Amino acid sequence: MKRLTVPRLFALFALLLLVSTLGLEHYLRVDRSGSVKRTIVSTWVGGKRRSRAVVTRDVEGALSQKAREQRAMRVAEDVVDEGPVLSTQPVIFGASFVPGRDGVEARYDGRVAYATVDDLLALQAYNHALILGPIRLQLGVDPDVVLDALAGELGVTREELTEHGTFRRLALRHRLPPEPAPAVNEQNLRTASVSAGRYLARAVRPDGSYRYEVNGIDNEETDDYNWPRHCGATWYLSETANYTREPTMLDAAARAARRLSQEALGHCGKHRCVGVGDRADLGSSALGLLALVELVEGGSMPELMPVVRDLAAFIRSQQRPDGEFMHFYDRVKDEPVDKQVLYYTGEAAFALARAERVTHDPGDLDAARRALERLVDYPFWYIGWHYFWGAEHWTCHALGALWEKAPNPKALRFCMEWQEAVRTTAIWDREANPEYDGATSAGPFVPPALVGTATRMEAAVSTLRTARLAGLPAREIEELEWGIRKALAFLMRFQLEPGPQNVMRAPGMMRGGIPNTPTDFHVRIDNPQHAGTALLHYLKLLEERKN
Amino acid sequence: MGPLNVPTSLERKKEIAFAVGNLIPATVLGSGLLALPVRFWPTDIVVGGATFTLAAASSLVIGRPALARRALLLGARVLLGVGLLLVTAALLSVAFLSGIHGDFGRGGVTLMLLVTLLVLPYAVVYPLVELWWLGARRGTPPVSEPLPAASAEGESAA
Repeated sequence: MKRLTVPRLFALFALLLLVSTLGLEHYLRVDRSGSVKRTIVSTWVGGKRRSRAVVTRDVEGALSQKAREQRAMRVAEDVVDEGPVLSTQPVIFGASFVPGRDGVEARYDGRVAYATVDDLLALQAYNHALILGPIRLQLGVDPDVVLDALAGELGVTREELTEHGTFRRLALRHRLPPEPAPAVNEQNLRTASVSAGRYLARAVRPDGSYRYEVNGIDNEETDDYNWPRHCGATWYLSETANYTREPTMLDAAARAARRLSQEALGHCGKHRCVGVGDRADLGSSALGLLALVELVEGGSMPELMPVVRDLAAFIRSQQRPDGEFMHFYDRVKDEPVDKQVLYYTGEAAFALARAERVTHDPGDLDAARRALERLVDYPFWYIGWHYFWGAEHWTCHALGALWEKAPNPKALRFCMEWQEAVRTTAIWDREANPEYDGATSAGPFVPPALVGTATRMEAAVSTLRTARLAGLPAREIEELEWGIRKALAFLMRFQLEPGPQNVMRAPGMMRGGIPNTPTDFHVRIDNPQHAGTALLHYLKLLEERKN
Repeated sequence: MGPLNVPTSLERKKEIAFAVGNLIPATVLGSGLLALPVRFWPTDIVVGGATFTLAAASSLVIGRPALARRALLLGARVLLGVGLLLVTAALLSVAFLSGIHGDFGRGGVTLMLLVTLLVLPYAVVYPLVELWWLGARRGTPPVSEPLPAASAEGESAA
């Protein structure tokens, strides 16, 4: 009898725990496929909300007159379900909402205030991270911002609201304007990729520098600048300009290239390199070379050909006998620095492979070939390599650029396997956000980063083209293309084309931009570069297939 | 032969094995506590107390064989308590997040499964096995107690 006490207690504990967990899950769950309970209609002008009405019928008529008077944009968000909020304790409150899907209802003394998805986007409340020392914990909403905003709406202090108010979670769905779901076809790919190019063209100032990073909500810029990203953005801008032949894009690309050659082109020994200060890095020179090759090849700036040759020579001079590159050059001591960082070897291999198309120098091709061999040559004792992938987009670009002249089947297998890993670890079947399918995950409870998905997809498209040329089995190619189409649909869905214009101060300036995440509208110049490259290269593949 | 030179029996070896086994979660818990970048007193008390108790109990098992069974029992109970606390916190967190987000998708399920598999065997299954082993020996004397007369007789007869 006594010996049965412990197992019985244990079984009782397990049962209680099971009931508690199932009960808690059921209590908090909302049904996002449910019918519309009520609709929150708002009018917006210049990124600010002007008026609001909550209706259960005649959504079309609600605030129509007011919107006309205010020359405002009318937006309707349907409440499809609601659920409880357990506590206003910051961590629990912050984690109680799904970013981009949930809003908050606050009741105080008979009055009601709403913070809808659009309100929270405008407040930038979904992008809050709780910092605990070195730990960065991403919550659903920023409790301080949300509670302050709701308290302001209700005309009370935040303390009064948290003390005496009650809160509900609202599962919302946009009715007006409807949520976009662009199909992956030639027309939409063209619109999206060209729009990304136009965003970059608008971002080039008269002096050739870019508006480096812009917050889409308030149109404010950051103070940072980064030459490798200037070079990368100019590469994509030049490629789109060559594709469309639009004068404004060609002009913007030329301004950015002139800025590069005037401000960032220096000397590294007997060659020219891209670098400011005492130390030049290989990545800037490689991306700068890519941009200039595009402009020379497109015929818009043939005068850059000597610079192209010299930059290629600099990159070759940094290569070691084993194919690896020395990633830095000390301009004070006038010698290479044999240190390696992420990306640069792949960027150098790709840039040399592309440069050879205009230089016709076998040395460029040979250097690119040896670098690619080195990149995919893992030592035999590294048994975990299959599971530990780096960011290999430049490697797979190099594979594609070299295939016709220096095919590397081992590199093709490497990129195919990497893409399989990318698909396996992508987001699939997230109940609250089915529109994230195919995106590269940043964690199970946070919105995915668009640029992380974009870099993998530009590599995937290069791999797809190569796999077709190499005649790989149809099943492998179909799986690869399926993953690409899902991820490109995700990118197009969240491109600011135009995005939720009502919450942005200057939506016209942001059009075509690729935001950091579906709820963080900061656009850095490499976001449209990577996404645009994936979209444009896939479009070109579809066009080639048709012809 | 003095008591210190008595050959170690299989039972004694098992006691020492459990004592060493308890030191592993004690090390993991202690290191985790030290590595935490922020201090939160309830965590400090529970995890710090468990670490200390496990380490002290293991020392007693090795240094004081007569107290070995009682020390192992204390260590196993403390470890099971911490394990159940961790599992409870993890499951309630999963239930909360599942209620808010719905199905997490494949990635989320894999992550949660990995965490569960890492915690359950060491913090729940292992102390349960230890308690079962101790329970089966309840009433039998610890191996270091004086041997019964029959053994003494046998020794003198040899």
